[in-house]
Amino acid sequence: MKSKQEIFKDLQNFVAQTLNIDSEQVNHDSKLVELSADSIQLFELLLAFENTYDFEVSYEDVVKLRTVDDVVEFVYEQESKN
Amino acid sequence: MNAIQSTNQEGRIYTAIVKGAQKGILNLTNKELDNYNQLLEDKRGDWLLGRQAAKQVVVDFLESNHQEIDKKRIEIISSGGPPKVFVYGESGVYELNAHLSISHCGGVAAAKIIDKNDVIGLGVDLERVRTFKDETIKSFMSEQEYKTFLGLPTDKRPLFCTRLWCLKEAYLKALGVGLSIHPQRVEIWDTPDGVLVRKDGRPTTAQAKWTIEDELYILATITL
Repeated sequence: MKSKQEIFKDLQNFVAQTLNIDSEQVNHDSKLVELSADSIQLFELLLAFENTYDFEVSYEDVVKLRTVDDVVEFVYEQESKN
Repeated sequence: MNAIQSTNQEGRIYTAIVKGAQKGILNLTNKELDNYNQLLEDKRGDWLLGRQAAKQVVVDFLESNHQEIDKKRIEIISSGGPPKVFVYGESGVYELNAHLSISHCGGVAAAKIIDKNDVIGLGVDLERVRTFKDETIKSFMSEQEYKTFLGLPTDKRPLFCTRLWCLKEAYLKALGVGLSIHPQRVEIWDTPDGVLVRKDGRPTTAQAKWTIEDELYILATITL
């Protein structure tokens, strides 16, 4: 199972690619809404989270995730269950 | 310097649209400056435009109530929900009893304000007309909206998609919930009597308007 730091690294690249920004802009306390250019891009990021992981993720789950660290914690918790 | 591109009053709503590159921090309170400094650098320009539009409509709103105030004595705080307006008046600071909604996009910002006694919610969304990804379209549109979309000629689709998104986003902002409600649960119907908004299959009392600005942007407004 991946460590939280490994999950963060994966996520950093994933968010940067999805939003077309530098991965250096994606930090632990970065807010997803502020990384996104606009509401459409934020929605697309949430959709991408929904579709990426092996475990089941609902829109209602991802929409509560405010920061990158929130996503890391969520992913770590879900993967621990599997 | 920014240009206040337009201000107007329609009914009891005050609107300001601002365009241009922000040069310098104007009229920010210390708290607003803290918020500004926490933003990523490439987000600051549009954020400032939004603040400028917002403070302009607050000034217009107060002037209509025979109160003149300097923009430096207006503080707008957004902390996840709808923005709140605080006025540093002569007898102290108070929260303005008004709905304010701000939207900014690529060098343009719009803000609207209305008295809370007139409506229970206000939402504004400004987006540049664009092409959407197929997956995004299928995800945010209802079945009926998607059918309408497929029936359109290709060159009409970006405007249709952008308008639909703006109206849904404005509605969710008026509710004060943003994207915490999936946009697919909100449906936009065009009728001879105007735009109707449905949520979870039921009609709402939302009043919807939309305009095209500069032939490039959609500005949608929802009041509840």
